[in-house]
Amino acid sequence: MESIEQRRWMRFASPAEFYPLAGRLVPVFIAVAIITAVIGIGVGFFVAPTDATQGEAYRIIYLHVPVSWMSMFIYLVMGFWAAIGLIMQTRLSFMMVHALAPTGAWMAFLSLWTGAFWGKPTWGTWWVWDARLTSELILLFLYLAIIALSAAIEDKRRSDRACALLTLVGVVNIPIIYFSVIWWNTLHQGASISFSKAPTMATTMLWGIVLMTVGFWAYTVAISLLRCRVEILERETESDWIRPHLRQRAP
Amino acid sequence: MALIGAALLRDLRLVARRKTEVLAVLVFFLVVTSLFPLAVGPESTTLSRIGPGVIWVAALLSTLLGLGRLFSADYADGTLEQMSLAPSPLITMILGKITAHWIVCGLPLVVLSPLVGLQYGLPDEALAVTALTLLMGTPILSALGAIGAALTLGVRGGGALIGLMVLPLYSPVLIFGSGAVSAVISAVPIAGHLYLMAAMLIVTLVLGPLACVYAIRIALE
Amino acid sequence: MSIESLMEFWSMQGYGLYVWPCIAITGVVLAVEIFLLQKRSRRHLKRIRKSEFDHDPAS
Repeated sequence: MESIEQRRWMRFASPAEFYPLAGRLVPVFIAVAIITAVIGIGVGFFVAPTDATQGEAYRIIYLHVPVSWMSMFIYLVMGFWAAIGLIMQTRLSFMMVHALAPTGAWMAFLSLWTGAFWGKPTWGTWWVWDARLTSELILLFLYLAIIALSAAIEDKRRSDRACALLTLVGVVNIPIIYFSVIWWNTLHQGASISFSKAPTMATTMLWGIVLMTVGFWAYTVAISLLRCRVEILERETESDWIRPHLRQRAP
Repeated sequence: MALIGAALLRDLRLVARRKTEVLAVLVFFLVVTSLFPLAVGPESTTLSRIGPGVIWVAALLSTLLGLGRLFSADYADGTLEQMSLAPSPLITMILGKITAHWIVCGLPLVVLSPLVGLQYGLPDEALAVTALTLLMGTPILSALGAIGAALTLGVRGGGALIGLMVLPLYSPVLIFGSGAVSAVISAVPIAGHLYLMAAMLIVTLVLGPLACVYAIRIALE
Repeated sequence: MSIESLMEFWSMQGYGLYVWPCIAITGVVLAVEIFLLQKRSRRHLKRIRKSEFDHDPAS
């Protein structure tokens, strides 16, 4: 027996219901993103003290840590929606997978870039094959594979399910890949500490990082909802709810 | 079991008709491994250091070459669809195909690898471990690769797309496989590597074909 | 805030060369992402409006 609550939530599984809901949610998340990012940068760059060992270079951490966490978090969320989509056969879940992938790839790229720029002044080289950067690179490849597969298959239904399966295969493999890379790294570098090890945290530093992470998370939610709306637009062109809805909105 | 055997025989017979394709993969392996000395110089210390890695990467790339043809012919002429509708479970067909791919693309690499190892000046224990790790690793490559091949059935983009999808997934096998060979050269115990590879082999052989069947059904709908 | 402390802040003990490009690239990536999405959305809205006009010239 379905409760009224369940039924109320499940109506949002329909793209027609989700489209306006997402539209209303986006400004909220953008606001959260901007506010937390501004405060975060304020705390991180102006309030938090300079690090004893790394000097001002450590401030890159306020960008590097959030984007790294996001790149991993987004992949897990994609895995979640991929599983839901394959189990419950809901189109919207698959659309969320497609909507999240580009943002995830950008986050992975930013993680690599900020990681490199952090490594150069602190450890002397632009690139280090340490465990974190290397596994982040592989994560970027996994994202690109999903995006490439989605672009290569024309039939939407097939591309949805193929990308969902690929995402899940990736999710299962990521822990294995991560531990292999860690093992590989300690083997070849001895017991040296990973170059991107964070400095010991003052409370203000921690707050800066938390705020920036929330900011990036809110941004991710906003942009993914927006992208999902565009996906809906592209797929539901022929549906009867689209045109009246657009006519309503547009001048 | 008999069904797998039948599927296997069918595929081997098909392969026998396309011998040049098979040989091309083997020659590719030899060509790639010959390129590295040309690139880094013939100095034996360098070569013996990079030897295990080169052999393994060449094995990965050679396996990748064979993946495109794994299902494409049967997909193109509708046989794959018939197989999926047939009373015998699709997974036996898949297992037969994966085994055939391994026998054709993987096993020869296992046999050839000691020769290449000699070219790179690897010591005798390393030659044995190379062959052993490839023996355990190449089935993993075939099984994982089959998922990639199934997902991209009839899709443009060719080998590069399968490579992009499948090569990152190969990294653990690569790390432990070539790691074991390097370890034996440095007289470090390799039991851990071998156990891990065995574990990966078992898990992949169980889960891989299941994912592959699912991927084929996705492609056929 | 004196011009000196501003210059000091900008140089970040000499690490500014590394810190500011990070902020810059983050800003650029986010801007590019939003821009590409807008372009895609506008392209499709245009397509819908155009086909709507074709179907129903009275509107």
